[in-house]
Amino acid sequence: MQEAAKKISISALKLWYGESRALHGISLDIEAKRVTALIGPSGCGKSTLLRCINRMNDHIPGCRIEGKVTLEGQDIYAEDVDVVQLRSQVGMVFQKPNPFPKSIYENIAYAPRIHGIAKDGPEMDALVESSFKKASLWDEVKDKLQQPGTALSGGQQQRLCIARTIAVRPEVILMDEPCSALDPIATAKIEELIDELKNEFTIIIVTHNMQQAARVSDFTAFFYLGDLIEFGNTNTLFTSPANKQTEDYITGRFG
Amino acid sequence: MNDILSNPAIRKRYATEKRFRAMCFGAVVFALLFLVFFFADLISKGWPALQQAEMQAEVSYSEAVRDGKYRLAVDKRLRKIVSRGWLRALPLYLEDHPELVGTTTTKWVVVIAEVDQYLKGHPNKLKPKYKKLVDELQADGKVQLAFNTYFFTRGDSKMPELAGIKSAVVGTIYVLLLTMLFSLPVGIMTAIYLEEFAPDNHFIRFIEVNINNLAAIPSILFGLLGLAIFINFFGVPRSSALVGGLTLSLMTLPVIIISARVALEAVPDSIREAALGVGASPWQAVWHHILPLAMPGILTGSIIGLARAMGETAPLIIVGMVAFIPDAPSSILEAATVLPAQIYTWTGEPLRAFAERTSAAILVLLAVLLSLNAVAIWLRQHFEHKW
Amino acid sequence: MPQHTMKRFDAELDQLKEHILTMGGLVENAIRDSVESMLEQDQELAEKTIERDKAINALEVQSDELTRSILVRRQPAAGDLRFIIAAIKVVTDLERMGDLAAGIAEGMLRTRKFPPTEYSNLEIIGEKVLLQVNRALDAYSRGDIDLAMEVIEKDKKIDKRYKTMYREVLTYMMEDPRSISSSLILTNVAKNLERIADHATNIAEMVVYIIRGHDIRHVDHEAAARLLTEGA
Repeated sequence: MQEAAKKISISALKLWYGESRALHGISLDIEAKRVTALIGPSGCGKSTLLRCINRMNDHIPGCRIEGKVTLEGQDIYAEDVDVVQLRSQVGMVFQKPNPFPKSIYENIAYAPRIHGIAKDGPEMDALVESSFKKASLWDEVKDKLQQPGTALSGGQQQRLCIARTIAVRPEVILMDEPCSALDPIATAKIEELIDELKNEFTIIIVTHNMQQAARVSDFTAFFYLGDLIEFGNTNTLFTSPANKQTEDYITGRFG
Repeated sequence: MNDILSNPAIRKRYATEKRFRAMCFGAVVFALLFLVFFFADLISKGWPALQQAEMQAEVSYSEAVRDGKYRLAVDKRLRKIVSRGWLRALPLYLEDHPELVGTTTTKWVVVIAEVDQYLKGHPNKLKPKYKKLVDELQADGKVQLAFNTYFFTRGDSKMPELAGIKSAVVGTIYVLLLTMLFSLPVGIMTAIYLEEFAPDNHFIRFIEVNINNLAAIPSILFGLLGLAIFINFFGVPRSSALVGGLTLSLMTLPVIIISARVALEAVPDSIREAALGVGASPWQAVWHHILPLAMPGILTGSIIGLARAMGETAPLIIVGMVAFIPDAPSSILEAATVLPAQIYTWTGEPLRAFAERTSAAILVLLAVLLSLNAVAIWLRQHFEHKW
Repeated sequence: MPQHTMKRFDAELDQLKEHILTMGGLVENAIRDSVESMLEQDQELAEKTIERDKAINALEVQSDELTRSILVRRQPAAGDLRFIIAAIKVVTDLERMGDLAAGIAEGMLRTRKFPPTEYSNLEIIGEKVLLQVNRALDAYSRGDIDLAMEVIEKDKKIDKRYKTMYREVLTYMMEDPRSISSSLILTNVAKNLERIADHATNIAEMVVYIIRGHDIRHVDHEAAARLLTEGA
């Protein structure tokens, strides 16, 4: 792995929720413009780790962190880091599609407006259009931009959320089980989209679906009980995992 | 398969279920009957108050009348049955309209309440000779029951035929506006802090428990609190709309805080996360996304809280808002009264005509409360977001 | 290895392995019998051997069907995936071995009229190849890497034996031109045996792949051994 290609570097990251420790010292390097999948059984800490990368855990009372997470060498937990700024660089797509209960247009325009990325008017129109095009949703919504975002189908809503995320031009997109609420066709569309987005963004995806991890990711990390058990090239990890726990998990011999 | 109805255990179960359902339905009917009885009673008693007896009489606006001998305005024969309150107002009226002095006019004038009651067929203390007079006048078509405009355009009066709810209505509006002004911002801000920003520690939990307890405190205690703090300590004028509004704010605050918290809590976390996830600051997340979504719920709760405050009498009695207020207050510092307090005052009056007005005032109060609740329901149905 | 959460998956994998080992047993018998028929000039045995190849082919079809169903329904990963990939290849190897053994038996039927005079080398090669096949199947059924590596190593000796025998048969043909046709068949038989051994080597290589995940085909033996010690 080349030093220059590292986008995010996590080292010895420990996290507590109150008294219980959720992460036991995770070290992981994420390559730029690649898809990295985090897999593991429920409660293994994969979502927690994902939320450390854009500091969504800050809002959880009693959550404490030790260790270091750097984005292009910059420690994101340093005192002078502005969380709002960080989140414009590290966007997030959630498990359940959660469009704002506003118009489709407004869903996209909101974040660029509060970040001062584009002014309302033709500039914003162009940004909204390009965001939708990148999220392969433009043709489906261009005639109903003023309708509420919640009127779209589940899969469209999730792509709307992805478009909303890329509208602020982040460097990294975090996806927390983005397809778990979608049917297989909508899932396939999101996966296809992820494949396209990785030309431009670094993507980290948490998924329960191992086939999905195998399909979309370049690298896969397997977590168990708050530990990183194995991290490596997705092909290798799914054909010849080095660790027995990984093997048991991905072949369905767990528990 | 056997015929299930021939199985005694099943038949018994069916019978039990039927009985249980019948009992539940009976309970509903029972409750409804109470409601019907209550309304029927109120309406039958209050409806007549919307009508007022009046008499066609020749009124002479003589100089003597202007100078205070108002009794001379009406013919001696009719003098005893014309409302004295009405007569008493003539000199002032003529001072305002000097061009009328010296003229005579025939018009409908208000009669005393006993005549009114006699005409409506209610028990009364009208002397037999006046009954005869009224009968004669009625035969001539010179006495009639007409819509009681005084009830809505005049304040309280010791003479029932002139007593109205106007000052109480104005007082109520003042008090409600003040209550809203004080309790809504404070209540919503408190709810937002507790729901969105407060850390989860003992102090905050202590506050939460106490807010919940406050909502359950008998309202009269809020009156005592208002008396102690606002009147005795801050020196706010007694009986004023201001002190009433402040006292009712104290009472409404917990209700608004609790309903606003429930409304905020009902906004799914996914919206919070979505806002924070695109880089909105916590303030922006609340202001742009969470509050607009919670607003219908907050307003519904607040309106219901305000409606409750509007119907409240006990705390207002303590801060002196049961005074006799014949004229509508013109500022929030003047002595005022509110509808429920007016109703309370009238129930203490022995005259039959006041009982009628009491019922009518209750009807007005109920109508306002019901429309407030209707607004709340409408708000909820039209603006509440479905998830 | 612990059981799958889906018990049925375990049962299917076991069944597939059983099919392959049954096939292996049939192939071993076919090789032994075909060589035997040649050495003993036992026409009946040769005919029986040819007939029994059909059973091997039928097992190949069954195994392939099972493999397809596992691929479609279980989406195997890691060790399971390697086992399935190996099964596809091993089954093909075994089927080819069966065909080659039948080829030997057919060769016997054709040499009936002018039986070759000397079989000593054929007997030795037959025994050695049979041992290779036997050991490869053993290594497969037990998951024994060391045994598999031994099979791969020994294949060179079989190749050498084949060349020796080829030269020997050439001398027979020079001695007596009448024996040319039967001698040619004899070299063909030897060639078949040599190719059976190659397939056994393939199976041994698959054993290494199943267990370690390393593809050691087309890698020289020293490099393969180094790869395996590193991996372990």
